[in-house]
Amino acid sequence: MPLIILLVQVIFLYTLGGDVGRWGLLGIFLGLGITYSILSFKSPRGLTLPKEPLSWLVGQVNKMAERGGVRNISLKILDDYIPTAFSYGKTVVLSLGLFEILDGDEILAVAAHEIGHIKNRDTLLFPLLMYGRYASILMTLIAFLLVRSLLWDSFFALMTVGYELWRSSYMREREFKADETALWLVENPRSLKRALEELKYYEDLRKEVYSSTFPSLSPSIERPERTKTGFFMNSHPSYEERILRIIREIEALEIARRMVN
Amino acid sequence: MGGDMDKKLDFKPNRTGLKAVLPELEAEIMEYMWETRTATAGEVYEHLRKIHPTLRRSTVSILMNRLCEKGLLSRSVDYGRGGMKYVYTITTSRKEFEEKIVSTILNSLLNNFREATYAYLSKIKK
Repeated sequence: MPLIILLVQVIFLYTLGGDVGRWGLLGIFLGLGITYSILSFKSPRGLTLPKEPLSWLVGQVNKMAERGGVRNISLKILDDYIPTAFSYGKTVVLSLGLFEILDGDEILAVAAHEIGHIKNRDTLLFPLLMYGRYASILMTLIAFLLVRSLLWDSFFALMTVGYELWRSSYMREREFKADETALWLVENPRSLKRALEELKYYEDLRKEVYSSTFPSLSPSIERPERTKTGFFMNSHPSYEERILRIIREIEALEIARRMVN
Repeated sequence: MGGDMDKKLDFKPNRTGLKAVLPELEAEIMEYMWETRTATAGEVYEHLRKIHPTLRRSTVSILMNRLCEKGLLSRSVDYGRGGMKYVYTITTSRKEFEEKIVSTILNSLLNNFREATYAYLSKIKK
């Protein structure tokens, strides 16, 4: 679907934009291609390899990766007090903040989610989708400048909105898929649910503490209503959605195990 | 201690002790940190849980980082036996903190209510 949208935009800009449009197209794809190539070789800053005391974590992460059929995975630690995790290439990154709020099993569950992304090739797909987004936006901007027609400008804008809506929806589904993969990789599936609950609590509490003058002992964890626009454009599902799905998956797993036994 | 203590100080005269200048949990964290001088968020959490059984690790982590931003604690990475983790250390003694609070409040009173402050200080001196 995203390729079709991009292809349609390329064809129309090539046809309607004249020579300037064609040069613009070349510039967009060449520029994005060079940027992607450069950034692919660059590791994010501030990462360290786990020291000896974290050998238990390295061992367990390798074990989960083997279970998932992923080879040569590496683990890095980010010196950041905010609990976060991400992956790039075949590397899983966990921040030190995670170690403050989660126990061992829960940290492994978060690592398993990231291994899920690597296994599902999201570390390759996500950057490509992001660059596709930039390409779509840039093509629309060039169209606005060159094709002075409300009909065609609206068409290009709709294509970009369509790409963005599809991309957000697809990336949310990939998060759910990474959760499903993680449930198969961890020894204790409920640890993923617990990890997400704690991360949700942290996120809500942090907003509460930093927005209020007098942080209270028992802060409210009510979230403001997500706006409809925010929901459609958000590439990450909410913690509530993920936790709900995980509960259903765990129940299904348990039923399946009981039937086998 | 952070140079912008003046901006972050909220004085509540109806509260007692440290809770007059720090939110309740932050005050309890600092009481513990002044005793131990150095601790991890986990150690602080285990201590506070005895008083607040429903307390969560995230609460302690966020508040200790807030205390770092206020300049009362500093954070460093420790490569100990338990793994890599953050260790928090006090940046100022309790005495220095209290002196800073008193000077901040008195300076503010003198700036805003000069005559009344002098009159009151003279009265209590007698």
